[in-house]
Amino acid sequence: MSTDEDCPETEPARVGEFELLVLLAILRQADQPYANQVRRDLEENAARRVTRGALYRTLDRLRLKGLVEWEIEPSQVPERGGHPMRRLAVTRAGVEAVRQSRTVLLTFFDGLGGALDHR
Amino acid sequence: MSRDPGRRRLPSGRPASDVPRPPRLSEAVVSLLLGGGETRHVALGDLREDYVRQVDLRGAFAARWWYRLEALDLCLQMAWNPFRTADPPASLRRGGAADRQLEGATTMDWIEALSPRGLGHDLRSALRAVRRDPKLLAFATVITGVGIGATTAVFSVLQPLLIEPLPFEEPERLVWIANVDGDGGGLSSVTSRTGNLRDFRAMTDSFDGLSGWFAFFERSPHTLSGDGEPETLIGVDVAHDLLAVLGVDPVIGRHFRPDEARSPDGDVVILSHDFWERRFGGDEGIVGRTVTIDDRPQVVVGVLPAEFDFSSVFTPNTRVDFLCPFPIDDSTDAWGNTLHIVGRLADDATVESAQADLDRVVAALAEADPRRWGLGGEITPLRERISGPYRPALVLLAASAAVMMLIVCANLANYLLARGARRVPEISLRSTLGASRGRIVRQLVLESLLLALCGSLLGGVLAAVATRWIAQTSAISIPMLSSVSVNGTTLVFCLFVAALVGLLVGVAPASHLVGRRPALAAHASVRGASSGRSARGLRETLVVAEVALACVLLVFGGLLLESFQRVSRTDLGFDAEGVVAWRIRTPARLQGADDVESFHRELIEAVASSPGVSSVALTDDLPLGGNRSWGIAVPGVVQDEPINAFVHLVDAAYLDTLEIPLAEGRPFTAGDDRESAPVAIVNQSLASRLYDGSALGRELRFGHGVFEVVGVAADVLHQSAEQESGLQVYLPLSQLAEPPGQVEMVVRSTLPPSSLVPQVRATIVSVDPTLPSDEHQTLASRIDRASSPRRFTLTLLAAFAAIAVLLASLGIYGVLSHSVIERSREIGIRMALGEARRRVVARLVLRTALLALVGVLLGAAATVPLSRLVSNLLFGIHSSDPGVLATTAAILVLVAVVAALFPALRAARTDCAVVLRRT
Repeated sequence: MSTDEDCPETEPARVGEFELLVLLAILRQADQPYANQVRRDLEENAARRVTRGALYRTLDRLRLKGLVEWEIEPSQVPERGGHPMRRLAVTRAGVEAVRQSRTVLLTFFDGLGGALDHR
Repeated sequence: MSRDPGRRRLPSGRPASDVPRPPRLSEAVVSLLLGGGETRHVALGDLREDYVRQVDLRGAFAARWWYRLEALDLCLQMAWNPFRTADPPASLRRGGAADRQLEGATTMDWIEALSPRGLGHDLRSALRAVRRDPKLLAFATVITGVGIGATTAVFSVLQPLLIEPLPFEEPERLVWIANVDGDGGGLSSVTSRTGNLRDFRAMTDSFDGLSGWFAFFERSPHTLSGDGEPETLIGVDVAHDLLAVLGVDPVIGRHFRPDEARSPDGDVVILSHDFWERRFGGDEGIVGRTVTIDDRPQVVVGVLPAEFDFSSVFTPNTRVDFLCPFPIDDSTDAWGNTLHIVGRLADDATVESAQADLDRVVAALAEADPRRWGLGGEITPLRERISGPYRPALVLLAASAAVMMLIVCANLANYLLARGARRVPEISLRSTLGASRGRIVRQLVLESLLLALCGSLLGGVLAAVATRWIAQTSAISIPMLSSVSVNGTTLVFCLFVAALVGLLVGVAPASHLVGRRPALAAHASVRGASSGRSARGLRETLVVAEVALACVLLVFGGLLLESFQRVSRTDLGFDAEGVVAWRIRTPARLQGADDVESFHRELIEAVASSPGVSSVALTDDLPLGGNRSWGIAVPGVVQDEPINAFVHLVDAAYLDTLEIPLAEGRPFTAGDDRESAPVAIVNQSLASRLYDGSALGRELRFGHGVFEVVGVAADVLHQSAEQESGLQVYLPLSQLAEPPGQVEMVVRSTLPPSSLVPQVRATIVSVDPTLPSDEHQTLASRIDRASSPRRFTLTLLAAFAAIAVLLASLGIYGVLSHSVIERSREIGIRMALGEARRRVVARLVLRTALLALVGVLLGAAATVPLSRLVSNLLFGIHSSDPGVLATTAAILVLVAVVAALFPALRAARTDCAVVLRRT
């Protein structure tokens, strides 16, 4: 039983806006690439409310696309009540996808001149 | 991927004991809904960590609400997460609680399985899978069909009697008022005097209406003449307001008016719906027309609605063709206890308050007239009165049907488990291709739902056939059976059972399959289908459960069978073999007792002279019915309480024809006529209760008449084979001043009924062509009908038990067959190492016998708490009868051994060379 959604896509890995933001946020958390930090970063700096469920779903989706991977770390702080954490990492393909998105965006932003200022 | 946990900044560094704890319930809900996997642990950790932050920022109260909303949001979002994968790659996991690999499906998998996404696709896949395996389709359809059919049929019988409201307006307000007058008086001790009804109507405050009908209406059939063939009709004499009290309106026409109930021979009738359709073709112009009943014109004033079948509700197995008004006055009060009373409680009254009210009225009436007899009233809800006696049997049947359904489920689940082992590679492949566990589970459950749906189609047909038979048969005397049918509610029930079966049998194998480790799947694909020790254990457990359930049914079936046999073996006190009874209505043209007597004599002589007839007699009341009793007394003896005796008006040949032995004295003779002194024959119970020493020559008083006892007859079980004979008195028909309106002519013959009946019918017609000659019954069929509710229960339970044993044996066969195939390598190696074939067979059979024995022990233990289901239905046997238990155990173990023998013999034929080469 496999549908298109269930099958991991290999090439090319296209990402949506929120996926791109999540990838960027993971990359920004140099020393603490954990979901809570990623979420906080997004909420504080991308000026949007990010629900925990949406973030987990996106992470699952990105992992299916092969753009994100994680490993499970045992918790060593009492705040987590002994529950483990996911240490997130952007894969090589993930980095490539981010790079591709940046190129596309820059191409489209480039040459707009003052078009954005008049609106 | 770089990793350095040591550099991680800790949120607060506070000691563990100071860490605030989030709301436990919300945490438990998250924990439950997210299942047992990695996501749950990580999410709970993330939530806790943020919660602690929220406490620091906003305080404990706000933080708790924050946690609850966050948890809710998380659960809602994750419930439909289509991207969740089964397990993280093994290479990425290490240590701790998170390292647990999921076993079985998680709650979230089930939630995902319930989402509508991709349902069409999964449904098509399930259809293909079911179509690919016609053997499974046939097996599942047949066993679930039989199970669902039986369950639905039982539900159909239960529905009108126990579930649906009675076919009256606000039926919960209807009550039955039984008289309690003397002991052992049969129908006469629960019916009331019309004077009581009149006084209750006037003096009680708890009823919106009180009404009743003449309980002995069956004794006076009527003849319809005029257009078409003469026909014998049964009419019920009812108080004019009975239909109003019950809340039944005629479908056409009107109710009776009070002035129409002035005499027992009124001139208006309301037709039953059946009779109206049968005789008058449903002619709506019937109201106002005149029909001739008993040679008197009667005006039809209304027709009863189809949904109110008087006989089906109140007098099962008796046809009722019309209602006629019955006067509630002094003339009928003098007849004694003859009335069934029903009432409609006032809005604010309860059964208890109405009973208190009635007790007050009864006490006041008794005080006002201390000599008044036949006064009393016990209120029961009408439903309780109608369905109460049948409730234990019906509840037992429902429980048995449910047990049988469980066996069906266990069997099918077993089959699916065995089949599941062959599908491990397929499931693993799908999982590898990215199908989530929720989707896999859903497809497997859809397959079993489809199978159950096929079964429900067959079950629906079987239930329709069964209910059709039940509704039409006259062999079963249970109320409301004529309205039994497969209707919308039954079909919904049928589909509900199918869905339940589909889920029950699908979930366990599906959950088992998706929890398998990839390594096992890989192993399975290489070694061939092997379900492993856990699946074998599960399947053996299911077999033990099947045997245990079958044991419960078999024990109950055995107890009922033994009870039935004991009832059948009961000496009724007369010999019913070879006796046929005809109802002979006294022709209206005959006037006076002498005319009637000579007519009877002529008829008896004509029938007695027919070939094969050994004796002919007359009685007004056949055994196992009627239940009319009269109050009796012994002149000169003061009684503390009224004594009732069943009275039979018989001719001189009656005791001899029914072979009722005389213990003392003489039978009636031709000399006992209206000119001679009144005589009576009493039964032994009455003789020993009322007289010291011999009863012969002693006197007996009925009302104002005094009779001399000339004989003492053996006791006859007059009411039923399961009730004491009670006190009985036989009076000679030849001494009656008023001849009865009808008699029963009993004919003993050596001929079979099929030969005797046409011969006697021809004789009756030759004596009087106007006499209906088709109302006859064998006494054997009367006995059968008296025990029909017991036989009905027994037949169904026996069928359930037989199916249960068959299914259990199929289950054992299936499990062992599969086990033999699965373990062919092991068996081959054992045989190669020198194990004898005989030993292989013995080992396999012994293990099966052991499983069966465990099942039997569990089943036997289960019958102890369940025995109250059956104890009310037993006769002369205890619910823990060791004989029945031992027989059941022997049958089940034997069946198990036989079922195991075939696969075991097949295993013994294993060619070890071939097996070893494959290895």
